[in-house]
Amino acid sequence: MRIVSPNLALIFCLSSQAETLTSDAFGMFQGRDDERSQWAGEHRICDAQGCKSSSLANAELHNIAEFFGEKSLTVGSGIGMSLGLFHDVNGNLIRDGIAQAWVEEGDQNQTINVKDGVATGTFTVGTNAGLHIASITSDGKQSVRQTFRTVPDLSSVELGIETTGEDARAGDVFRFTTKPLTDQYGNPAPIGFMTWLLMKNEQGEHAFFPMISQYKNATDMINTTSMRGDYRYQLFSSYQSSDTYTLTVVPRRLTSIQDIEVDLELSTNVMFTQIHGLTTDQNHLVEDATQIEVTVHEANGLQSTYQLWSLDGNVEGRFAIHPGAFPVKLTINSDLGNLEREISESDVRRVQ
Amino acid sequence: MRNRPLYSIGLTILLLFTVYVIAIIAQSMSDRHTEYSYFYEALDELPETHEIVTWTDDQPKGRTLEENNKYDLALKITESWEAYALAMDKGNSNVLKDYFATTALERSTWVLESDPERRANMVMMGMTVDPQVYHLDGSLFQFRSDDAVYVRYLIDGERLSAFSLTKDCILTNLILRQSGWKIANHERDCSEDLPIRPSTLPWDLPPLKGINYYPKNSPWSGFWKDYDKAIIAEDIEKITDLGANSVRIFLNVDDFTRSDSAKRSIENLENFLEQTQDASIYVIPTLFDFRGDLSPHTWPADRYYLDRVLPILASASNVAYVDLKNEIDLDEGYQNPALVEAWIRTIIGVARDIAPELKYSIGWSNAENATRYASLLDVISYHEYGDAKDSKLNFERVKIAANSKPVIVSEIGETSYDLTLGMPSNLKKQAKHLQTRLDQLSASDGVLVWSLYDYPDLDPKAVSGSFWHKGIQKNFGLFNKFDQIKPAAQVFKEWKLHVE
Repeated sequence: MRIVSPNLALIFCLSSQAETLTSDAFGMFQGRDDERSQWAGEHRICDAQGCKSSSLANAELHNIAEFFGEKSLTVGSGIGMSLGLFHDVNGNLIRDGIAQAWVEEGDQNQTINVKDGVATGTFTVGTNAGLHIASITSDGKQSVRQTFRTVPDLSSVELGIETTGEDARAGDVFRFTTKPLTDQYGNPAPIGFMTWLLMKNEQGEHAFFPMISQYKNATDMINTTSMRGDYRYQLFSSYQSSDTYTLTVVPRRLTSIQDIEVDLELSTNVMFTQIHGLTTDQNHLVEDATQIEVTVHEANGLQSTYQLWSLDGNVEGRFAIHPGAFPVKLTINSDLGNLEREISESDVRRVQ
Repeated sequence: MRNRPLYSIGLTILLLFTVYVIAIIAQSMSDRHTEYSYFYEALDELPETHEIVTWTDDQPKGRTLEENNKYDLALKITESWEAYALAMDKGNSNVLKDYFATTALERSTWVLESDPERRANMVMMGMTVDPQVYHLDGSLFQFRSDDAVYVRYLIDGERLSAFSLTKDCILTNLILRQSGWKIANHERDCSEDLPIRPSTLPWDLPPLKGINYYPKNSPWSGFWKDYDKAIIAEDIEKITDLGANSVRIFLNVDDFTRSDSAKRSIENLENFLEQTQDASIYVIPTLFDFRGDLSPHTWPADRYYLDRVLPILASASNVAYVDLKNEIDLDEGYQNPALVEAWIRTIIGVARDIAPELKYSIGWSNAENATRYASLLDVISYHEYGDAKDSKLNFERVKIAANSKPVIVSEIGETSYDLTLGMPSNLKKQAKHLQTRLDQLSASDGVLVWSLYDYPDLDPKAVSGSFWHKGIQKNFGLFNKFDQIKPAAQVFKEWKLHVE
């Protein structure tokens, strides 16, 4: 038996009078399907007498699925949405109803309306950063609790550096430590919060390096070996900047020599001279490649100057002398200061 | 001579054998091999997915819906229902998990598993999305639609045992998982049959004397790719010089849907309609040319195609009617006839919904099939390549069955292919046979000749087969490959079409 609707959009053929053809949201089937007969919405049933539509309503509430987001909300200003999806026992959407949305922080409650299976409520989060809980209840049913995190208000974290007021000495390792990094509500900035230190001197030389929060503050160290004079520095984040601070780096001084060994080569009248242990006032050997200028003052009035470089705190050179040179006075000049030493003839070893 | 009859028989046999050998040699010479340097050149391109979803201007409760969100959601909604149709068609539930979740996944899986014979299917053919709720964190999107077009059908063997084309009111939730959007809930609140009544507008066109048209150097798939306004203008002039008042053209699916060609093709179509209108030429556009596999998951793309071309055709004043599919009866030779029927019924319904003002027909391959689906169509059209002497009788039978609807014989033609010694045909025979056919059909509402030109380079997608068959197909034109008018053209020019 073939049945055609008046406007030709529907045709179907029944092999028997008893058969029915049903269409629903997911398609069409013949005969009986107990599972599908419980799916809410319009069912269109055609039989030998024609077609009729019937609408199946949802049953009572069976479960609530909650979606809370966004997942990282800024304390004090972030707005989170609690959204519930309401189903009956057959998976049909609950088309209308009332529910309660709850957020643990501040014990906030809202009555929300269920429409077409969905209910929403928005919450402004409190001032305590951390993990929080939300849930939705209705008709004695409760959603699985959702967790969400609130994060500090990084835009309000004020920046500053803890200072002692002391100068640094060149060659020192100088440590910078920020003041506690907390937002306006006292929440510490999270580990990994990025700040940058910009440091520059009057010559326009500058350095820019990150200081990353390790919880409550950030620290970093610099080596002042090649630094001299006043440096101004300032801390930045994406939102704020600190006051400007000044660091004075006092240069090192060359203060002592451990000893001097001299071998006098008789055949050439050259003093092979090793100056050991050039030491600064911080009791450090001078750095390798420190330029050392040695002037040899001979007793006969002659003098000569040599440009040398330090290695392991030592300097060595070959100095030509003339008859009547001793006692020889060596002046040792460098950026770190000057020293003098006298070498008498008995101080030297004679070699051929 | 006593042996004269024997001599004649022997000569005839020798002649036929010679023709046969020539044909075999020519066939082997014409076999071509194509060499590719890269695999991607040899393989078919992957089809593009186009969304068939439009939007209301409303914003949902919660998060603002931006254009990129709409694009993502529209594509996912389209793809999800394509996947549904594919899963039902192939009986493969794995694909459902990529597009459906929770309740919707359970239900779609139930539908599939409770139909092991894969009789039933449902295809979404377009909708307008009315956003309702969009979570602030972007994880859930709810929408309604009051005009979601769904086709539902049951197939038993090769018989379409149930078919329903409706506009549904639906409520759908999508949730965003790591792998993308998935339909979580889908409920139908109401439905109404999509009306597919024939057009109520009168047929007030003059008798159509026309030509099936491709330009000389760009037939079939070259037509829109190599469209040249100047060439079209010249050909229109030729067509009007022949006394024709109509042309039948072909709108390939790919040209009007692929992102690298659609815009250009639509502009060219507008130009073609404009030029023909200026020349007082009616146009019969034929849709879905080179439309292959009719598996249900491919049908949404047809909606996309119709949305693109039908408004253009509807806005033109010289479109006589739209030929929805060329020779769809031949598709039944290699696809399930029930599936073909479900498809064409869907296309008729959707086309009428998009452009109800247009008149529609189907270009059947022969008179026997001409009145199929006549109650759904406005014009009855078929092709007549049988014995010329039977053309009048065939037409009269169709005319009676058409029940006062106009009957257009949208393809007739004769070849002038002369392999040797006037076999199988020649210019004179072509003209003679065409004359006979035209005279037989002079009472019809329209006749269109295949074709304006000979086409020495046949499109392999359109014509395949033996050397002999191709030779015949190459030589149906009223003009030869050198642009010289053939005697058949004169026959066509002088022929008058009367409506009794």
